[in-house]
Amino acid sequence: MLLPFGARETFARIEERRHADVFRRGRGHASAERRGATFSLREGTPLPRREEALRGGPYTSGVGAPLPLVDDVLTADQITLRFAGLVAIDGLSFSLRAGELLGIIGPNGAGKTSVLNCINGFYHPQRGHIAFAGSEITRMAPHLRARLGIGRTFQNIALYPGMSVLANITSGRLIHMRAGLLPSGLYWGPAERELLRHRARVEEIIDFLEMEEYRHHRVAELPYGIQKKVELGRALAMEPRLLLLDEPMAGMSVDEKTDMARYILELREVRGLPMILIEHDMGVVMDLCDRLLVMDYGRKIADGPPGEIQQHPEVLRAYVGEATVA
Amino acid sequence: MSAVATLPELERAPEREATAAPDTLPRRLLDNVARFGGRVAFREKEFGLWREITWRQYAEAAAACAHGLAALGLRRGDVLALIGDNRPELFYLALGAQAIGALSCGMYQDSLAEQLTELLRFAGARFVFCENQEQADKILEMESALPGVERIIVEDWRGMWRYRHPKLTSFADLTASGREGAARAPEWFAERAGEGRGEDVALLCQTSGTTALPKLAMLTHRNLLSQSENFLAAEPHISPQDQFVSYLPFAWIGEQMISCSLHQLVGFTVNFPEEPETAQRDFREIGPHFTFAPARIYEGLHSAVTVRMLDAGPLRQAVYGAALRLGQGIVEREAEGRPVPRLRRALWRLCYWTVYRPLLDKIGMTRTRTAWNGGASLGPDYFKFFRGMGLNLKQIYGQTEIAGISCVHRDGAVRFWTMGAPIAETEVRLSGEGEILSRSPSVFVGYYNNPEATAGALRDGWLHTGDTGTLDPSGDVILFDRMGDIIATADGVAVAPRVIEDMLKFTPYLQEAMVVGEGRPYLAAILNIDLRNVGKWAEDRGLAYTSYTDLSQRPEVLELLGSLVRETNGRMRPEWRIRRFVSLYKEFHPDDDELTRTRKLRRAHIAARYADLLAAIYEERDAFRARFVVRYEDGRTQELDAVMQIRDVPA
Repeated sequence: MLLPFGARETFARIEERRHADVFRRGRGHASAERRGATFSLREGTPLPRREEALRGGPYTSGVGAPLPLVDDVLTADQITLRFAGLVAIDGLSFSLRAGELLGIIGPNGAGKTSVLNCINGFYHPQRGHIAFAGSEITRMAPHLRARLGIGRTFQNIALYPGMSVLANITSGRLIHMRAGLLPSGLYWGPAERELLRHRARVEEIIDFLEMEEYRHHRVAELPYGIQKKVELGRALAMEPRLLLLDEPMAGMSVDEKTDMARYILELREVRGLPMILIEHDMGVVMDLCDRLLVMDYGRKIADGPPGEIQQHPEVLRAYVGEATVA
Repeated sequence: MSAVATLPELERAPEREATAAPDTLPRRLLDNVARFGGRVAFREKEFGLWREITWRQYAEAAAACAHGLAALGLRRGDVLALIGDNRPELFYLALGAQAIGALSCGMYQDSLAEQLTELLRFAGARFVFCENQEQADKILEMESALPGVERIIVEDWRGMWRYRHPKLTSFADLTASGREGAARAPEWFAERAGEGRGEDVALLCQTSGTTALPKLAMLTHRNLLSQSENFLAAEPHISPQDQFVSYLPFAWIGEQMISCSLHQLVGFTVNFPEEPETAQRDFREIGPHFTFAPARIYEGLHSAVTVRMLDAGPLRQAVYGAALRLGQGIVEREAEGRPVPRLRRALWRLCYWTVYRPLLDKIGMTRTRTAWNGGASLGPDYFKFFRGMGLNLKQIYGQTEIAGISCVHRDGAVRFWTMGAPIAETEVRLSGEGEILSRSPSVFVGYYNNPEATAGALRDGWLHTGDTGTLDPSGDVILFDRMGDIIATADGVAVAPRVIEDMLKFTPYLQEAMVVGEGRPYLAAILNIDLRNVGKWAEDRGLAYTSYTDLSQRPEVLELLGSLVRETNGRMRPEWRIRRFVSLYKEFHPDDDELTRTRKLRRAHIAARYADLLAAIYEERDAFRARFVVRYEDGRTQELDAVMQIRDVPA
């Protein structure tokens, strides 16, 4: 009765130790996995690792490596979305180029989140077409789109609050898991190896987002800013080829915003991940994005680089009101 | 009373054979490859897993660093500054530099850019190693003021993909070229290491500098190794099978002493936590066999345990309280040499398995054979607390200038009011003014570029420590305080403020305390509340607060502090009692030069900074309005306006 530690924690420690043991035993396999184990969001852009550096490996080769120049990653052609009488999106067309960070801005209710919902398949537009990496996805179910590589974070945090950070991020790996129910349940053979492989990927994401400290914390106990990071981590665990970020910095402190901006920049600069970002903080949007799409009442009113958008008269009127932008 | 402290019986100085063991650290390293080879030298947590590094890999990496540094132009006598959290890379570079006769110089990674610049200029560092972008930015920002720095080596290149500064080199490039060099000339490293001699300076170590700007002590290989040999003679239980966790600043002599020289000597495993934030958990995962920490760590552990126990139910609290009293009672009896009744011993055993051990498990110390406290002294209450729980906590006394240790408690003779007895080959005596003087083969060769300070500290081979104290009849050294810190009140009473502060701080609610009263009619104290614990205390009572400043001045909090001070006063002789106190609106901080980087009070600076506040205290005023500029780590400043209440301590 007086033992101040609970059985639950003890079990967690046993599991942890076992994870480490198995990893050590299966070294041939595991370390080979880990050597290339730089979680590559795109094939062929591994990140430099201290381990590699020590081995004298190619440290800088991955950094800034040129990306294959494909055409537009995503194109939306004349999409229209209606809820009963309300027109949420009205004949919107835009495209996203490889490695580009596109910001969508606009007043509340302009239809920004609806656009993301159309892209990842929560909503199906009544008219128009959406194509991802050259193939038509307008009618595809959300889980199939996720499998194609469309990842997203949510405006209101949508994590599993009772589970640990580790488990939440691992849930992003589900679409890559192949082992059946029985071997997984028994944690046996290929299932065990597969889980360890996924764990290694998850650990790389934890390292990337600098969340080592919170690995075993329950999500519900964490501050809001950290939960937002877990959301991003889970999306990255899917190894997306396109990332949709719905207000990733809402409600964050200045320091947390700076951190988040760093991660987004690194994803773009080093890994060339194409992203669509919805954000209300104009400073952030102007600093980060390559291009902005301005919406109002479901329509596109402007589209161009941040510098141009700032001067756009239509934008000033619709988004900022009549006031001038400094 | 003898004037010279002596070695306890049965402990002999280590015998050094004619065919002496290698007397430099790099040669020790090569020797260890032969001794231990495939055994684990380091273990580092990365990606949630402990990665092992053998002695062979350690030596190879150090050799690669030596080649790489030499190829970049580092020469004998040059200084390589190292800034970063503890990682094996720091040791590879330090050993690599020492092998080619260069000096390593660790710097505190939380220092501000200006503080680093000053030190780098003073050390004349030609090469600087930075762990990451954060540190590299500090150096690049001040680059124009650092013409002497020729290379900035950065390990973690993350976030620096656009940096094109000509002085920047990645650690990966350095080791890559180093490995090529090592492949071409495999014997080169051993030859260079062979040229080194024991009396060469191995490293520059920053002294904590409670009084002035930090000084850089020059320590030779022989200083460091003899120090470890003599320490090992006092603590012979340390073995190659042991685990140690390295989480205290690399720049601190305590860390150098254990993770570098003692490590080379004994060959245990040094474990590095993943990140500073995970250190506590990683420490617990390893469960080290011995640990060495400054007082603030033990103070922190005590307050963490105490506060957590306040959350427990009444039954647990009662059992915990009774068990603690039992343990402390036994410790007191043992220290005074009184016998302990057998029934109490049996009860203690029972408590060990039901209360103490689970608690020690929480802080990762169930396996810990010995925990040393060094750097600053620890109040006797902490000794009773930890020793009562069965943790073998012992005091170490020493200075950077003597490579870390001159005295340590011996098992079976832990008198926690003393600093322990001198280790082998170490003599300690008192000067006419009561200053503690030490002499040993580990006494440093002088301060770097500072002959005046050297002349002051080093006279006829005796190190003048600047501490006052006395010698216990048993031969133990008793420390009063720093020479300059002793307070003389207006009636001529001499007070060692440290003693009072240590007693005051034995509560989770106080983070720091400074006792003042030089030339004044009575003593007063400036207190720093502990935000987390007082914050929790306030929440439990439904008190709302907005910030540290707000909380520190809440009338309820001041009441709490008043009762704490009164309680301490009750255990103090009348002329050492505190009459008035003020709860400072902010914590003392190294960035404001109020504390050293190892968190010791810089009294003179604080007294000058808060001169008006002190005047208000002794003018018997009830409140003081302060306007201060607060500096944040990133260089931002903010002006603060706070009214501080000055309270009388209830009798």
